[in-house]
Amino acid sequence: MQLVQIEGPTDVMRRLPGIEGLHVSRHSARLQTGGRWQVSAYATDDAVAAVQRDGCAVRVVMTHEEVQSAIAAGRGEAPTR
Amino acid sequence: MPYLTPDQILNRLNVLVHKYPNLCDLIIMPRSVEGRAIHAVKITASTGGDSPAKPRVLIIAGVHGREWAPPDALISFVEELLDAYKRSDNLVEQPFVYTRPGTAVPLQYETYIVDKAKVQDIVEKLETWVIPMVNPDGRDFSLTTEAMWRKNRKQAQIWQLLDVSGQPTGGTYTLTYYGNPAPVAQTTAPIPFNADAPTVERALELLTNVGKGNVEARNVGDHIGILVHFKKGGPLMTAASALSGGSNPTATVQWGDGVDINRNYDIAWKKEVYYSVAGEVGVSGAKDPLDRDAFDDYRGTKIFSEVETVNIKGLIEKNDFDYFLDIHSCAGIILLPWAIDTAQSSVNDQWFGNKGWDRHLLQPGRPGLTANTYREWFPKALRTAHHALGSAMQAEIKRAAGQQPAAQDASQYDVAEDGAAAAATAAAAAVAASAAAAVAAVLPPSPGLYLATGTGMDYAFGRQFLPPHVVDGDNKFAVTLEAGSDLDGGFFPVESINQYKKVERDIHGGIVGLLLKAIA
Repeated sequence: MQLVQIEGPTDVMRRLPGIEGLHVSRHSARLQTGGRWQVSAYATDDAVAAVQRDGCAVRVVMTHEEVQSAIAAGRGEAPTR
Repeated sequence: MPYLTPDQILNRLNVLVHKYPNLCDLIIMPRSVEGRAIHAVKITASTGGDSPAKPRVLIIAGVHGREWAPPDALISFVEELLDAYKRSDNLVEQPFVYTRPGTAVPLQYETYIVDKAKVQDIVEKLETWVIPMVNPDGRDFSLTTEAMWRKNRKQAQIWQLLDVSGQPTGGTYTLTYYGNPAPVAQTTAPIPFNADAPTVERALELLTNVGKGNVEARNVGDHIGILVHFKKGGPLMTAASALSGGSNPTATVQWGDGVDINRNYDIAWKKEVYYSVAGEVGVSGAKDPLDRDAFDDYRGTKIFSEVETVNIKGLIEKNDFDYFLDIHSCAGIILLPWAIDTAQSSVNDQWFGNKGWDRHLLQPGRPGLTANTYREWFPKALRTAHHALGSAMQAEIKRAAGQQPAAQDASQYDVAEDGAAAAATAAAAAVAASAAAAVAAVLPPSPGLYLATGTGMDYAFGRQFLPPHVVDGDNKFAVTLEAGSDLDGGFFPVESINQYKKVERDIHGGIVGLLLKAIA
């Protein structure tokens, strides 16, 4: 599970919540120039591939390893928190 | 320090009540489905005599299990507030440095001071109720088992969906069953990639913590997967998988149940009646627990089917709060009503209680974001007052960040109506960039990206539109604070690099901004 920003056209972005392995932060949606939207989401590799197939651009904000490290820290399983 | 567990949150509340018995009352509400206690604390100082009725504020957090920061931040705020009040001193938070990923300069968050006169006003002139952990079961499950878990645990694990995706052509996967109630994990032997439901069922029956006849597996279609049901409940998870062929083949288990508390309130809950067929698409609030998007936002079997929403409803009905603040993460925005639609202030028959707009044989239903023929009624004065409240919160969050422009930028929260949040923020950016900003302050609303039904904010706000209130001048305010952002650790801000401290500071600023506005 990685934390990503997804950018794409309205119709595709409206379908994002139905994609398996994708957890969209609904309120993070921001309208970009040219009528495209950007949202943040946690996504599996499969989900990233699916949205890319739909023509969306994906930028990784936190890798899978970084997300797992943050979760472990928050749980007290790692010495970083 | 790790994030607070549900038990630790209760302990911290109990300590507060014992430490400040004259300032705090503990309210014990019905327990969660897994038996965890849910408590509220009422905070106010008696000023004696026939003082006028105080504005009542309800602040909640922990509605969604995976949003780890807000409950901790709400607890720490209350602790700091009462400590400062007891000492008759300022509320002071220490400076810190936060290196935000992708930001060139370290962010200098300066000392944040709420002066003692304001502290005194907040404690003495308001009645502030807080529920730091609305959904203890969801939080516990997120903290211990499935970090991305958002909903409560109602009916959780009744049916679980096993899905082998990516079209593998060979290999195996294994499943781990955790048992119920005492978790004793056991893992199956390797299961072939193309196993049918009976094969999966037999593999699980061989586990000694399951046993023959205690599990049922059912095929639900090639493109959906296999439903698995344990008679005694308990989570199933995939363990190792050694699948081959296809494209990134994986085996996953989803829990298609549990209820999103923030889709279970009585406001446009039945979206298949509220909206048109086209308008319903993209509206958050899944109808079926096995829908793909229901992993996050299943609305429940009926309005107020969940103890967590009944708890909030009961408090609101009994206390008629003037202000309602629901703290979530992590979109970095202050949200105002409505979540169910884009708002308008000119036509008062377009409102959620007008069943003439509902879908039936002669009426298609509200178009949602697909057309402008219906927009949700938001009286102008009330709307203006809400934006002023949002701006006050925004300003205090910025003040809490200190003077460094980079820190202020990182704590810049847009204020937007939920149903047009994205559009509004884009419009605001356009206004700010425009030389004609002064005359372009009011832009026509444009469709947002998503709507949502059954939210706590809309429910708390919407009550004043229903008889006997009908927006009678005794205005009620409802706001959602989406704290943090994807650049600040998302749902799981890390403390050691001061990500959590940054989000906590933002939340404290937002709360103070709202409370001071409530006094004014």
